[in-house]
Amino acid sequence: MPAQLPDTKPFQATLVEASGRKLMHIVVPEGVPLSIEIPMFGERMAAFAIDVIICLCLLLTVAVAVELVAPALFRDVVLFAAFLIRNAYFISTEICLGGATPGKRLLRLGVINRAGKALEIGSILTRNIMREVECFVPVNMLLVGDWIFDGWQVLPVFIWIGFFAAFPLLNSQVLRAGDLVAGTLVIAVPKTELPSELTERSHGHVFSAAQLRAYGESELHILESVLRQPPGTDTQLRQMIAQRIQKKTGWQGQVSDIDAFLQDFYTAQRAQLEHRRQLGRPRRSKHDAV
Amino acid sequence: MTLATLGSRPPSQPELATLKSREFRRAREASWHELEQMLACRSGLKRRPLNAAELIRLPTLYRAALSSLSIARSIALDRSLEGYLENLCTRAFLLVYAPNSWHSRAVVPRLFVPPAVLRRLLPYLLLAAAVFLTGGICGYAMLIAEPGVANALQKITAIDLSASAAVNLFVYSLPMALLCVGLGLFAGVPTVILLLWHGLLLGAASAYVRFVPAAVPDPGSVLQVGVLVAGQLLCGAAGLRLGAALMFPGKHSRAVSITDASGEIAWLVGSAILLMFAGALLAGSIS
Repeated sequence: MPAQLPDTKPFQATLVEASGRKLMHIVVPEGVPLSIEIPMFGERMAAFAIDVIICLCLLLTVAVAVELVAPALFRDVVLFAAFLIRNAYFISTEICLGGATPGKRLLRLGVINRAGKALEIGSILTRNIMREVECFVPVNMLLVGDWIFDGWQVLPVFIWIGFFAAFPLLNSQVLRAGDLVAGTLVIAVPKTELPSELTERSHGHVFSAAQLRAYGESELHILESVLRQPPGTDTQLRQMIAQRIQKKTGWQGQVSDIDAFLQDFYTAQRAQLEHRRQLGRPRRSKHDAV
Repeated sequence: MTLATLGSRPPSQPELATLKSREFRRAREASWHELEQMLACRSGLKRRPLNAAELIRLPTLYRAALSSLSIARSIALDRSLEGYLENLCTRAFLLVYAPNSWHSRAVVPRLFVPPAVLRRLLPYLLLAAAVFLTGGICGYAMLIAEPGVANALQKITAIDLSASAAVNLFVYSLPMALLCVGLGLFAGVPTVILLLWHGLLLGAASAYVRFVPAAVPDPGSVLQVGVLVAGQLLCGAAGLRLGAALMFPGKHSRAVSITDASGEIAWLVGSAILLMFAGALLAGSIS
């Protein structure tokens, strides 16, 4: 199959969209806009599931202890303990770990203020209280309140749980009802490494100013994304790109090492385009005026 | 220069072109590494608190990263570097602006409400109390006029009064109270309905005592009911506050108005929960 050129979207946006997340902009208090990633619904559910499992394990230890020590008080103590454990866990881990519970940290999620300000303690408390209303109280009613409901009267509780569980799907920022009320936003914070500098070495290929006027910034970004792939992948694609460059710029001469040729062309082209940017005449693509 | 390149046009740039972005990166890279190290020691299993020197250094590094990002956006054409700096700045923003301990001075003042906030919340508390009282009077009058209603009410609510007070409180009252708050999102109408309903039940119950003198409740139940009413009123006020934020946002958008109200709501509901918790413990120990 012939090699295909990658699309012209910027590198970061390509990565982010490949992972299925959306980008959003907030302005930090220092005045710099940051683009942040909104996590997917499944990621938030998974983080919540991990936290619930941890709470259940803690509750299990308490239940076992109570069963051994004072079995008569089992029901009362376990109910109280469930309430205490889940609230203490969520609130204290969110305060101590910078707004993220261990489940969120495992999935590389964080919590920020939606307006870009500092995350307040009041917001954390409000989020957690609303979580009680959304999830834990109705679940408690289902599990324990079997003497309140019978038959179809359970239906409103299911609707209650279902509505709040589906709430993040109804808005574009995957906000829970608790996030909406508290003014917070959950973001995805993957860890990226410092990329290597592609223009460090020269392999001896030299290009004239006229040759460097063939392409613009978007073509440069495509070339960068190809060069950043591990060496040895997609040699067919690199060869095709090298041939196109040679044809378009009118490069005379043999190319023994394709990677070296592409790197030198990238270096020269980037220098030229950055210089143009500095002078206030950026060239976005090859279709723009020279 | 190799033999292969001799046939090309005469070169117009030196061997290795000087790129401003490369110089900029060389100059700033050390501070990014330092910031990465600081971020690394605050994450993972080997978390440790930052020492005094690091704390002094952090704001400088954070602002340096932000300025690097701004510069990279304007002069550099290395897209993956820009993406890396965005990510670094986001992680540094989380480190600088997120709360990180119970000992921070921000936590304790939140637990105590300044008088101005209480004055703002008073109208909602009074409104909740008025609605509850209306329900109570209605329930009382209803039972006096038509004693047969008592059986119907008991069938509807079906509260198992033989269960221990604590369980009762937590399993029945707390959900109702929190429901008051959460449903305040629907403009406070369900909150008002719930307050009326509970007032009605309480009024009917107090009228019932008049007919059946043997049904005078013991201190534990009285305390339980008192705590329940107080918690209901606090949560009802919270629900009304939420509904008011939704219905009367003033010059802000509704989302901002709700967010502004969230601090007051959190205090009301937190105190209601603590009150119910303490009341349940007391009621359980008395009866």
